[in-house]
Amino acid sequence: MMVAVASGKGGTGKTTLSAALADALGDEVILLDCDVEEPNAALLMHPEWLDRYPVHTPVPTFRADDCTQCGECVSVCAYNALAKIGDDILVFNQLCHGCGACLYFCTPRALTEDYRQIGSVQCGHSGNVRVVEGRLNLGEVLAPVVIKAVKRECKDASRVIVDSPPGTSCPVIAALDGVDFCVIVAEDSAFGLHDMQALVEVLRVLQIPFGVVVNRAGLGDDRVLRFCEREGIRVLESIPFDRQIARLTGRGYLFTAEMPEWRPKMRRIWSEIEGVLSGARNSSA
Amino acid sequence: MKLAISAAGKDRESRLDSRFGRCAYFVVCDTETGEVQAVPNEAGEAGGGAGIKAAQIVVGTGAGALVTGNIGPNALEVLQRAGLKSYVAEGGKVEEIVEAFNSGRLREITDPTTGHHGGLRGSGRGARSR
Repeated sequence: MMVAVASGKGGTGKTTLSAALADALGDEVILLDCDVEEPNAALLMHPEWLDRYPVHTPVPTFRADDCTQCGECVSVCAYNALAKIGDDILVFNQLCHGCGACLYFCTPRALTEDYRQIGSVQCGHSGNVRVVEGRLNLGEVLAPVVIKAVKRECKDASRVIVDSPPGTSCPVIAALDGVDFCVIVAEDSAFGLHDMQALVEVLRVLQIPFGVVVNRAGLGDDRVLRFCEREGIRVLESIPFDRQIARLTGRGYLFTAEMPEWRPKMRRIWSEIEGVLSGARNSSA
Repeated sequence: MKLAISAAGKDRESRLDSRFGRCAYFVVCDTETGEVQAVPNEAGEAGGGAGIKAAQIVVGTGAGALVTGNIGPNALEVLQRAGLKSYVAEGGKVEEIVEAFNSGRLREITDPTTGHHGGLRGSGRGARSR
């Protein structure tokens, strides 16, 4: 089972919850840090890294001798990564999404495929939890490419936790790809609810079942809970706005390790998700 | 010489659009005859790389120079490779800008006036990749 932990709004506690779930489940768990623009699960998991490898994206390189000046490569590029100036083709690597259209349409093969590194993947373990972290290089934008590389690391794992990036754009869609369930970590504030609603819309379009964990409960006016009740959204847990949890997390400790009474609650969230999914399978069978 | 100006409208009376890549029109003026022609900026709706596309449109008009408000590194590179000079104007109408250009009152742009994705500034983290 692959479960994404996402939020819409940033800073609601995705990594805190992802790490808490991984810690409480313990065995046969893999935690994928897919927030590749600012990976931070390692700050709580303190993994021992065993392996690290680069992530590449294809880019075209231009050989003027073979070019027939047709300009087809420029017109098929959906990202405006190519420009034709006189006899020359300029390639703007930062804008290239590596789709390969320019290479495909370049019949004289003046454009050939090259690769450049845009990020890296690190694999390690923290106790029995396998931790995989993607990291996008500074100044790069193709987060989905690195996220896909991270997700290829979880082939055989039976319990996968995907620590998703915030927002609702391409990186989040890449993180959500193929997950069985999404836990929305929602903060009880006006921004928290607004951004969570955007994510709810995304999940409905993608037809991914989801539930909500309210974090910093008691901070606001229960607007998240009222929204969930109105929309019939399952609330899996509420984590209070608690100084001890904040202090532990801020110092890089897993709050579930220091406050072990939370571990059964985390395991209960996981079993509830299993229950929801098996129920859905039975009803559709 | 032809002078291209990033503008909000199609004629002499139109005001400068300070955004290069996402302006509505390029108004191209012949600095000798005063003749004016407007070219719609089809790059304005591009998801990304609008400046690069817009720069090629400007090159395609046959203009020898450009006047705009802000321009990023990619667009400037395209224009420089094509041998076009770029100048900065603070605002005003197309006819005023042509006059200022003719009297040598506009400053040449040699370095980008804004960073990558200048036109997307303020759209937040979600805008970075698409």
